[in-house]
Amino acid sequence: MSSPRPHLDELAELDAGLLDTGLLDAERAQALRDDPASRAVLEALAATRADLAAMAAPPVPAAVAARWAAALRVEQGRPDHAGEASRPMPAGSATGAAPREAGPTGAGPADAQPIGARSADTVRRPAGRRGPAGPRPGMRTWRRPAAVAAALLVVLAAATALHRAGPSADDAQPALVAQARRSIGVRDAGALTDGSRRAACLRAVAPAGITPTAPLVGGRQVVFAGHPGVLLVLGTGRRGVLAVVVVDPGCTALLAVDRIGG
Amino acid sequence: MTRLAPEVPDDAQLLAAHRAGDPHAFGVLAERHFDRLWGVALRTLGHPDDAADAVQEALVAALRRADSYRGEASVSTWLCRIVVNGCIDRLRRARPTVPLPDHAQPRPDPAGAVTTRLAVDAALLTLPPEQRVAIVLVDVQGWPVAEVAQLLEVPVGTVKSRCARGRSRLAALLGHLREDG
Repeated sequence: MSSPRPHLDELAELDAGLLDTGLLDAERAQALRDDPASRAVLEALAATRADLAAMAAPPVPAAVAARWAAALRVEQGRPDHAGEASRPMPAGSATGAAPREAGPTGAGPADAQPIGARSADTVRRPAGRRGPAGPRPGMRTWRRPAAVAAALLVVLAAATALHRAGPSADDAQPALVAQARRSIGVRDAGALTDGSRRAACLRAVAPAGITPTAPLVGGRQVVFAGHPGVLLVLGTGRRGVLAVVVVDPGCTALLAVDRIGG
Repeated sequence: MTRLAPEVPDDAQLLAAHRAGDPHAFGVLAERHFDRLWGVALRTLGHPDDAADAVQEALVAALRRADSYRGEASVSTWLCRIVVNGCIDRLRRARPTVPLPDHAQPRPDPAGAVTTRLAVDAALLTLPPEQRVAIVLVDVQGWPVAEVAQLLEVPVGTVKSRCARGRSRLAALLGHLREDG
């Protein structure tokens, strides 16, 4: 009697060692291993594990480590001053911790993701501007000061005028797809994370070939060619093909359209 | 003449020293695990700012509740559990899971077309939080499944199952699974 055609989920469970839990019997497991198609899937799963094993994260940036150390000092009510992060431990309390190069306390990575060469005018969340006496040094704040918001409106007006006629290819475009790939799974699209608001926005700016109700695969705040925007990565209903849209934060203008795959 | 190496306190000793009032012990303990915690948070959340915030919150939480450590797991596992729980909370808070459209599910391409490969980190971010955390800990960080089960406080079979589902989805997204008849 021939075994039924193996299913991917079943092979993945075999690959993960679930056989040992009794979810698969030994005879079936052997049949799966002997099947050429199954072996190909098992090899694909092994290649996937190899890809994952190769992506170990780099060491924590010194500035981030310094920020964490400062937060712990503040939490313990100790003064937070430069250099303490690398101060040697007093005798009898602890030894052996290699001092890290202390970065500026509270200096976090830039938050808005710049796309294109003119990204210096990034206007986004100020990172780590809380004073040393604050309870969480360096923790990002999402409040945008009124003055910045006003400046943003001016920039938006310019951006709207520039792009009212539709997206244009410029120096930012080649970086768009790369940024979009990195945005998959990110949920930082602000109000456009909400499906109904996003649909209304997409109806308003009407990017060609994109359904307003397309599912959101990822999104983030960006600076596109010097202008603040919201990058949306959207499902298209086609395997391996995702739509990429950048709109201004008020969704009054379409700044760019692109796609991943296809 | 015998030269004695300076004694280096282990994690449990540092935590005990912290509980006893040593103001520097917890900082030393935490710093030992900075890279590991960073790796878990960065790969789970996918963004360095979010990862930095998550680890900072977790470290402060661990500092505050050091007295709650009972020694059932290693200090390292305890710290990592706090980070992982914080990451999962963030993912749930920030984004109710929006699954990829059905075409991204791991199944053979009926047209036999070349599958569009996503970068590994991008593909990882498409997984639901529980699967993602299991994959990050087991496949990226290389933790033993049993230790991950202890960290996540779930049965070993659950960890394996989450890894299995996650890997099968990733295999398709990464282009390793193709139509082969």
